[in-house]
Amino acid sequence: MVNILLVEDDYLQAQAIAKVLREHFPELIEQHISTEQEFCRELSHIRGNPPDVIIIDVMLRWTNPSPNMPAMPQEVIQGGYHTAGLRCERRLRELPETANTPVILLTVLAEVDLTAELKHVNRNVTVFFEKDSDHRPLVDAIAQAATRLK
Amino acid sequence: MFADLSSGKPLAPRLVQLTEVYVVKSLIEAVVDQDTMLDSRRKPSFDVARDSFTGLREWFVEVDRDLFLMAVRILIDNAAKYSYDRTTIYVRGSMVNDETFFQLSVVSRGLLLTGDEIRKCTERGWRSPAAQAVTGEGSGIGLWIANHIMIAHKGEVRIVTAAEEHRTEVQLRFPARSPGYIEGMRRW
Repeated sequence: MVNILLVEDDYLQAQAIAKVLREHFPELIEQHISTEQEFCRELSHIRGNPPDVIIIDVMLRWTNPSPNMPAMPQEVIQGGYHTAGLRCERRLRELPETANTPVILLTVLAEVDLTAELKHVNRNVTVFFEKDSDHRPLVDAIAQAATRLK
Repeated sequence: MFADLSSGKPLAPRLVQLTEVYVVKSLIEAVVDQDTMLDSRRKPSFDVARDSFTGLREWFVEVDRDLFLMAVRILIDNAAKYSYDRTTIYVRGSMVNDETFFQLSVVSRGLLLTGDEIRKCTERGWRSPAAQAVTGEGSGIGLWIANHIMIAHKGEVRIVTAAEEHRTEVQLRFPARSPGYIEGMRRW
C-alpha cells in the first residue's frame, strides 16, 4: 500500500497524475491539495500522518477565491507563486516528523531556472522532476521511495 | 493578433450578422469546455439563458465571429477563475440603451474589483492582488484583448459590481440596428 499526497493546483494535471498513480499502484491511498494556503492549513495533519511520498508542483497559486480569503503572507508576496512548492518542501523539512519524507518536486521549469532555490534542498530526500508526458521516471521514483520506507 | 495589438495595430474585424443560434451554440460550447477544466470539488455551475437572445431575430448586430467567440471565452474563463466555490455563473443577452446595443453579460459571485481596479483591469498585464493570489500564473491580458475586440466592433466592455453581494457583471455591448434596417437590407 502506498500513501501519496499530491500538491498540484492545475486540476487537469492533477487528474492526469492521479490516473497514472492509480494504474501503477493498485493499493493507493491518494490525497490532493490544490493551493499553498491549503497545504499550510493541512500541515499539522500531514505531520501527524506523514504520507509515503509527497509530490509537489513547484508553481502553486496561494489560495482559491472565497469571501474570507486569507491574505498572502509577506514571504509569499516576495517569493511569488513560482517557488511556492519549494516553500512547502522547506516547511516539511522544518518538522521532525516530515524531515525525511520523500518529496518529488514537479515543474515545467528547467532545473537551471531554480538553481539558487535548489541549493538549499537536500537531494537525498527531495527529487526534482521536469513535467513530461512520459510518467515512467516519476513512477520509478515513487516506487523507489516507497520501497526504501518499508 | 497579439502581435498586432502589441504594436498598436487595430483589429480589422470581418463582420457578419450575429444570429441567436450562433450565440447560443458558442456559449454552450464555451461553458462545456470550461466545465471540463474545473475542479469538481469546487466548480461553479453555469446558467445560460437561451431565451434571452431572441432580440437578435429582430435587431441587426454584426460581429467578427472569431473575435466574438474569443471575447466570450475570456469572460467565461475569468468568471470561472474568480468565482467562489459552487456558485452559479449566469450568462444573459439583452437589448439595452433604448435598444441601440445588444448586450451579452456574464454575472458571477466571487472576487470583487474596486472602483480603481475596474478602470485598470483592461490594461495590458494588470491583475489585481486578489487575482494574483488565486491564479498564480496568468498574463493579465484577457480583458485587455476583450477591450480591443469591443473597440474594433465600436462597442464596449463594461464592468458593474455589487459589493454587498460579491457580484460582478461583465458586459459586452455591440451596436445594434433597428428591425427597419433589416427590412431595408432584405428589400435591397
